Amino acid sequence: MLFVQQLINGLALGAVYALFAVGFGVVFSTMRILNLAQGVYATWGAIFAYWAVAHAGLPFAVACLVGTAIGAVAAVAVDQVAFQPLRSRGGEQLLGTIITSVALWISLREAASLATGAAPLGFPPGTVPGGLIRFAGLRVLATQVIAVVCAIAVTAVIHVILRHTRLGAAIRAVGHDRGAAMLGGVNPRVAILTAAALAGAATGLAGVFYADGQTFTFGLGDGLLLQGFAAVVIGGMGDVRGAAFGGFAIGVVQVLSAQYISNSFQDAITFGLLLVVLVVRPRGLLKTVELGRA
Amino acid sequence: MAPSLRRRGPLGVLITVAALLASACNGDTQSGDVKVGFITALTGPVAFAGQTFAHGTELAVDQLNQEGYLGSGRKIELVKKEGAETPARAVEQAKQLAGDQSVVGTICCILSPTAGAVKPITTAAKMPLDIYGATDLGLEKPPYVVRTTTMPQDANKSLAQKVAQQVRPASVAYAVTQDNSGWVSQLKSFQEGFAGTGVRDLGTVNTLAAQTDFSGAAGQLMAKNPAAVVVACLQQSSISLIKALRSRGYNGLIVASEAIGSPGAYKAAGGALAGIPFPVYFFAGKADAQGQKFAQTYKAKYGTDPDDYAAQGYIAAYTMATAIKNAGKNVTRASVTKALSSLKQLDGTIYGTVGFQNGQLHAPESIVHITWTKDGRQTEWTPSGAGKS
Amino acid sequence: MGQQLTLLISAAEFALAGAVLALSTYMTLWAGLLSFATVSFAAVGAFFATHLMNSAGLGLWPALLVGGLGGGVVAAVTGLLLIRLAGHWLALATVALILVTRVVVVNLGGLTGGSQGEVVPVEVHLWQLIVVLGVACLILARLARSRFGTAAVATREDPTVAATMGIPVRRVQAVAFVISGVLGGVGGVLQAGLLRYIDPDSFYIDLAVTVIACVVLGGAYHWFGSVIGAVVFTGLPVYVNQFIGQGQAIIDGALLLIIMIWLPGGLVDPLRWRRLRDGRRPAPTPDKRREPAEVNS
Repeated sequence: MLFVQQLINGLALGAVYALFAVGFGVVFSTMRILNLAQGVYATWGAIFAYWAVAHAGLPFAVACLVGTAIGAVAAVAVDQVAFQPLRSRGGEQLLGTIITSVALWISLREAASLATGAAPLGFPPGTVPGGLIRFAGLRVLATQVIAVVCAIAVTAVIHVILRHTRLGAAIRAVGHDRGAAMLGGVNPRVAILTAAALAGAATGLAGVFYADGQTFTFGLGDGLLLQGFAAVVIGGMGDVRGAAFGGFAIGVVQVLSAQYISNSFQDAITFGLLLVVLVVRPRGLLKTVELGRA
Repeated sequence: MAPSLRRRGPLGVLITVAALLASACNGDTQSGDVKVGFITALTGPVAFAGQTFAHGTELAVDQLNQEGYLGSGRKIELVKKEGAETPARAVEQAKQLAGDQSVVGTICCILSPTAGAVKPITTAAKMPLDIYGATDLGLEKPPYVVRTTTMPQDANKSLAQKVAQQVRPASVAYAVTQDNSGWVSQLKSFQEGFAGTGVRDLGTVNTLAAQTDFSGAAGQLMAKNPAAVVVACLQQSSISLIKALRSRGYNGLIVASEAIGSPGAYKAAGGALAGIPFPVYFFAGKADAQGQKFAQTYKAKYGTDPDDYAAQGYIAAYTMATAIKNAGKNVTRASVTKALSSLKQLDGTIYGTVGFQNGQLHAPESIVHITWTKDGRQTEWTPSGAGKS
Repeated sequence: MGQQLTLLISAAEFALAGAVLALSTYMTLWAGLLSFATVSFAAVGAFFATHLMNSAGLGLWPALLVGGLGGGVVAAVTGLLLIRLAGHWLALATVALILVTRVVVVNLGGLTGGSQGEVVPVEVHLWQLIVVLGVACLILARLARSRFGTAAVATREDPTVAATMGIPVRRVQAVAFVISGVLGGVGGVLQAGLLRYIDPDSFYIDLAVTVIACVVLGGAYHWFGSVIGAVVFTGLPVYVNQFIGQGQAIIDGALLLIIMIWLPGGLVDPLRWRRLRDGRRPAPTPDKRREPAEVNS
């Protein structure tokens, strides 16, 4: 029973990683950017959602939307400020975008630190759905159910957009070959902005779900960045379903390894798995078709 | 991830030049001023607590300077250096303070690793160090290292004993921040308090300093089905874990450390902290005249009641000032070291009378067991009412 | 001004240690490998050497040898596994390597002090740093003029073309990786000697980011760029730190962004110099002779 309980806790934690990993994967596979600023989208999503419920008195569902929107806005802004200038210059961009994403990462995190006074924040009681589902000796929080359902839904929506719409085809085309995409009548700028916004939205939502059950600070995104990074590599970048799978897998592995092996080896297991996957199957555990090859 | 990215750029050069010009215009400090180094933690992982410590220290210096505590018109000048409570950065700042012979002593360190790292630097420079917040056992090493941290271990033990005797829970489970030696030693003090009282020990759940999700830890604890849970974790972890336990319907007694005592902790946790006992050394509701005065000026200046951290910041500066005062006319590192390490007792502090043993401050008389009320006030904890629900 | 002097020396010390680490990253970049592994090499060197300093009373010079050796061995082993990964994936894998290194350091408490870290008993002095960096620079300058240098540049430009020209691409990259490991290990020992206290966070993502910024912003197409980059991005902060409080990271970020956008080649950019020189008078540059081997277009 404890095993099932912890499996559920792991899936709920994994839902957050999954959302983050989906965002990370979309950016990496379409733009070839190792975006270290991604974590702060989650931080700012969480902060704005907190403000929405704590100061503006909005319901939790609206706060989730606020967090999602802030994530999307942040992602588009970062893309335009940090990545577009390098993109327009052409040539190899990986190195340059790493530096500019670091620039935005540290700036936006410091801004978050100033905005919150570096204080620990927590969603006030009553502002988060407080339901507790008791079933056969298991205890599941309403927020855990919401996180899992949303993670699956968002993954599905982004998957459908990328795979089954004209816009999605355009995004994938840009990821594959920008020149060819333009020849084919795709506006690469729209495609890139859409991809950035989708990634940011998923990440912002991840931040809200990460923050709603705990106390968090401006450093929230940093932990998420590393776990989400591991998730996306393990699951595979080419397909959002793979990234989501990686997220859930890492959540479950973390909680179960803390329960049954040792808390101190939790990171060792996660990151060790990450390294093994990178060496043995650099395309991720799930065999998927790459959106575009570097 | 450590949040201090140590990088500054060319614009910094301009600022440097400007600041140099400014300092050149100011000239030297007045001859009557005594410089005391203060390694702050206004940024970094424990920034929030660090700001409270700094408030206490600065308030003490202001107050003592106004009163003319050192006598003959001398004043204390704090030389503040931001160490962000990361060992590397704090060591760097300590080296700089050590290089300036006019700095006669240094106040530092909230986290035990930081204190452990700074200690050899100041000791090598024969500069007295007063540790104001680190709690790991054995950090003090007179004559050069004195600690005025009011040790939570003694307070935890007394709280555990009180709980064991008066609430009599059938069993207890523990949670600890395992990768921080300060918290491991606090865990031990709780365990010592419960040892031999007939309260069954159901084991300990380990958490990590960087951990943010506590659903798993809460599940582990609740699976043990304990009558009481002791939380010996970092502030943020404590709050998150307590929230996770309560939201999953855990109704047993939770016992915590001083970490949940700051107003910011209540703000982040809300009602989840209500009724949870924790020990403090400074509680305005029970302090004597000197302590009341401190609480009032603190509230007037910063808008909140001082918590234990603010009090520790205050007593650190107060102790250093007393050592400087006792050092006589010739205030040097050597004379301050001698005066600081030979302190045996201080009367009329914010804690009342405190004693020193082997360079460690003790104030067992001032331990109070308090708790948060539902509306965010602190009140003395009584086993009968608040504990059980 | 006694204090200002202390600060300046301290800043110079960190700049020099940072330069060794930056050169380690430059080594791999030279052969077309984007690797963050320098930090892992530094961690291995630093903890290995510190352990021996504490247990066997090793002095600085033998410690540097041991650290370099440790870094080199780890680089050889990891290089064997990782070099075959393509560009992006190698970057990801080396980030993962840093995370794994930290976990190993935390869990090898007996050797590394675990999460509490440990005190470094030996202090590093300015002249020692100058000597070490000087030797490192000599070696790199020498390498730049060697066949290895030419092969590395060709590999970086286009591995496929390089291979058809008969350059053993994998071997060049492996050699670069091992040299990077040795430099990283040595740099780690120096860093440890400066910090006087190391814990698992001393060699983590922060340092990786700082080092890569030094290399890229200093100029990724000439080894001297890494040295300049280290002076600007690790040395200055130590000095400037005293004047600035909160909000500093925002200025840092803005600066990184501005330099990256307006000086894409970095502060030391042989290509830009050549353009300038071709445009106007033939101004002598420090690296005039070696330039053709290093220019990247």
